[in-house]
Amino acid sequence: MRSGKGTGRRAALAVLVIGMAAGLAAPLVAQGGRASASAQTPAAIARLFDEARTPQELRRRLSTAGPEAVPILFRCLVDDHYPPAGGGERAALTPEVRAVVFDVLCERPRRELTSFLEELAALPPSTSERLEAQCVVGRFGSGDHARLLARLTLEADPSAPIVPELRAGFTEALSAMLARDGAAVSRMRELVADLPPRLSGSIVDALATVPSDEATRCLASLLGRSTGLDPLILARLAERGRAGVHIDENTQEAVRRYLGSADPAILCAAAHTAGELRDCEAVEVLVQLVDHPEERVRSSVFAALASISGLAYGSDGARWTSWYHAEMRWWDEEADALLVRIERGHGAEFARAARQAMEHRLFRDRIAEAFAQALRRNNLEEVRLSCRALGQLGSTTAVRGLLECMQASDPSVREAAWKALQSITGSDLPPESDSWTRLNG
Amino acid sequence: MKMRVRSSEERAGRRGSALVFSLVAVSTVVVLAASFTQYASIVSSRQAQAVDRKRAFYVAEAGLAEAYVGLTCGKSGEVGSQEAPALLGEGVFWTHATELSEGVIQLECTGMVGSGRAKLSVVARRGLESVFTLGVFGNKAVTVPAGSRVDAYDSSQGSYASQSDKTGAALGSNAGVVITGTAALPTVISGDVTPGPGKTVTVMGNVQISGSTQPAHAPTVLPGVDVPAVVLGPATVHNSAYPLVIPAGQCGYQSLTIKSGSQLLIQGPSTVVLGALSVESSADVTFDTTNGPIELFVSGNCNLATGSLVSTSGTEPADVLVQVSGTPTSPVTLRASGNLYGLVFVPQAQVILGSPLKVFGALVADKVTLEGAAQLHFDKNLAAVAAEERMPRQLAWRIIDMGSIGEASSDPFDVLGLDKTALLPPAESHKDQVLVIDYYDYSNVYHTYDGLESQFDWTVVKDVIEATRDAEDVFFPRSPLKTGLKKSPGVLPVVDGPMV
Repeated sequence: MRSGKGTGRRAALAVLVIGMAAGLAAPLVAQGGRASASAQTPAAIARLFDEARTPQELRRRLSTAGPEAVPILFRCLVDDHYPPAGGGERAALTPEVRAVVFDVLCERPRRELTSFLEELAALPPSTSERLEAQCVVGRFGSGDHARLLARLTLEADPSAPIVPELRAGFTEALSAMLARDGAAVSRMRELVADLPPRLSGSIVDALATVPSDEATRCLASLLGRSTGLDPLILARLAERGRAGVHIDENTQEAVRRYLGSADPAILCAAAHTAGELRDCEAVEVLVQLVDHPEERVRSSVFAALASISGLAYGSDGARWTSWYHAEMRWWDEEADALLVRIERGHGAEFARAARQAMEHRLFRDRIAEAFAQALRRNNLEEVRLSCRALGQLGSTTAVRGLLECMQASDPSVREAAWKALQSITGSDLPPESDSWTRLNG
Repeated sequence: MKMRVRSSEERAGRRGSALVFSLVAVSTVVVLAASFTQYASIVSSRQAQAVDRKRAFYVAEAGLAEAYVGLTCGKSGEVGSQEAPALLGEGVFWTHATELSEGVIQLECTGMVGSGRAKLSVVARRGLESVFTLGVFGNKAVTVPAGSRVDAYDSSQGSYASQSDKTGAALGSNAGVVITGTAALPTVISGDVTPGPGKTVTVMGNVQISGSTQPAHAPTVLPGVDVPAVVLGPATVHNSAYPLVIPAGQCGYQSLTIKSGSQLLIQGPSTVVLGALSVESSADVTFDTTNGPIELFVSGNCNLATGSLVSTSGTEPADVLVQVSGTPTSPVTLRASGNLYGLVFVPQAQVILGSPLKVFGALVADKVTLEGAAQLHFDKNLAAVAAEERMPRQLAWRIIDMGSIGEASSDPFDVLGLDKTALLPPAESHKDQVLVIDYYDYSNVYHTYDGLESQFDWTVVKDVIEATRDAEDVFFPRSPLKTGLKKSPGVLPVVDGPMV
């Protein structure tokens, strides 16, 4: 019994001693590790490179390095070589090692990277350093770092042109930052106002890569800030229209104002954009431009009218004019009764009204609204017909109603709604309603 | 019981009336039967005519198809004639070809079967030969400096970087080719190098060529640049902090200068015609092909200065086509940096390509001068695109006439006065043409033949090197898609005489 008690006491004592030792040793080990990491020198970093046998091991070792490693790793990337070790010849980085170094650098705490890049921007840096710094900012930065990115891009001499590669790098980095930080989009207007005009085009290009309504509104709000920038903004808005991105009425109105411009180049760009946005409200002004003295304006106007109406009247100005007047006459005299028949009619009457309405494209949003009401009916044939009509009209007005039809119990209705959504949005998503809901999202 | 006794007068009055009724009835039946018979005969005849018309329609369609296929391999489109039509089943057809304008051909085919006759027409445009399968080609001597890399990838299979097979490049010239390399700067050609006929490839230093260096079979004639008629805007010098945007559509300038620090953005789908193009240092040109391809035509000088930048939004070389008419005295300088995914065609001028510009696609010029280590990556997908372009395109199809022969006879052989047994099948009824062919026979002996095709025996041919019919290139749809120039066999051919 005594010996048993003695053994138990000894075991407890041993555990206590080991525990205390471990408790004391842990901070020391950590401190020692930190001390060794914080003492990293170019030679020590170079040793890490030499000792690591695989890129994964190198990543592990480099991630323990202290803040002093930031400039060393950055220098590795700029020179595309291993860090100098003992004055020997430096080997070039392999693509895998380069990717590891870049990842490790960008995973450093933001304040370390920011302060390092701020210092770098003040030097001023070389073009290759700027390009590398742009990549780093693009990888870790948010909207707060847009001005730092600009400082890294611009030369000290404000009159010096920007190297084209730097401009491209700025656009790419800013696009990545905006993709990561959606809230930064709203700050781009200030950025355009504050930064030199040479970067305005790049900011517009970066904004154009963000597929959000906020980005569209921001682009539209930049219209009129500078005459030179307007054609680019109009072109980017046209691209968004062509890609099926939703464009609100205010943006369309902003574009429409440019159809009164005296500058043929702006007129061409505005007509092209109005066409791509399928802005029915612009038709009246476009029809007035069919006799414009500049041929390039006329051809842009005809292309826009063809895009909006879906008609192939080519460059026959008189035909476009008479078509417009006929559409207006129809709208004033017959459209109301026809839309009521679509909204309230059933069976053959509904089908006849639908066929007649599909002959008119000028007021397709209003016609689409009438068909959207028919989507809620119990008659499946009429719902399918409405889906087909909406698909042909190509108006985004009824997207919400079609999304509801995607959840209908009848498979033929779901298929008709799916095809209509494909036609309207130009997207090739599968017939699952979730994917379409996210797209509309 | 009372009996009614007919008087003799009554009997006399009724005598023969039954006969009359019978006769009327019989005659009515006869008339009705005759009418029905005639009606049935007419219906049957009409049905037979309808069937014959339908069969004649299909025979005419088959005739058009035969002629159309002929067009794809350099034939005239003429198949048979009214005097000697092609025999197909129980019918005949003949096809007449009319050249409406250059390269646009109307085929009219008449088919006859039984009493049916159909005449159909197709208007087609002959296929176009693409020069971009030549890869990197210079009409004059090509010199490849040390450190250059000429290889290939397939843009339809992904990016250049993602592909491990870089073979299949084509580097050629109508003159000699000189390739240099050093130990520090080796030159790699991952494909064939083809000098002009009778010329050689001169290799100096550390050079790797993975393909053949045999000379070309025949010199290559480069076509001219066909600049589209676009109204040109005034000469423009763009010197602005904001980019100059050329939107989608057709656009032209008498000349366009992009000053240092300025930008040019060309959006597709567009056709841009410039009298001259000058892009100064620190300026950049972007081809935005997000929405469609871009065709850029420059009729005069074209200069992309050192320090300028060229970029394309996409990586599909066929989406950017740059054609410069140029003149032999003013070279086209492409000293910009960047990656150009596109096709460059300069048939009448020298192209000076700076080493910072990497070309993904094809480069064909009168003279190609590479300044420093060049990076030229030929897109093998261009061969597939070119094969499609060589096929004729149907522009219109219509029915000219559908009817019956209308002659006493319902047999087309009687109507046309033909002996059915003397007629040839469609494949042998094409109009005879002058065939010039270089080929290998089944013993791999090189032969050449120049004469009427009717006197040539195709069964002796194993592989065709080159063939023309009435000076039109013959395209073999089933042959592998060859890139680069056709190689010379390196020996004198056996000259064939008439074989048939």
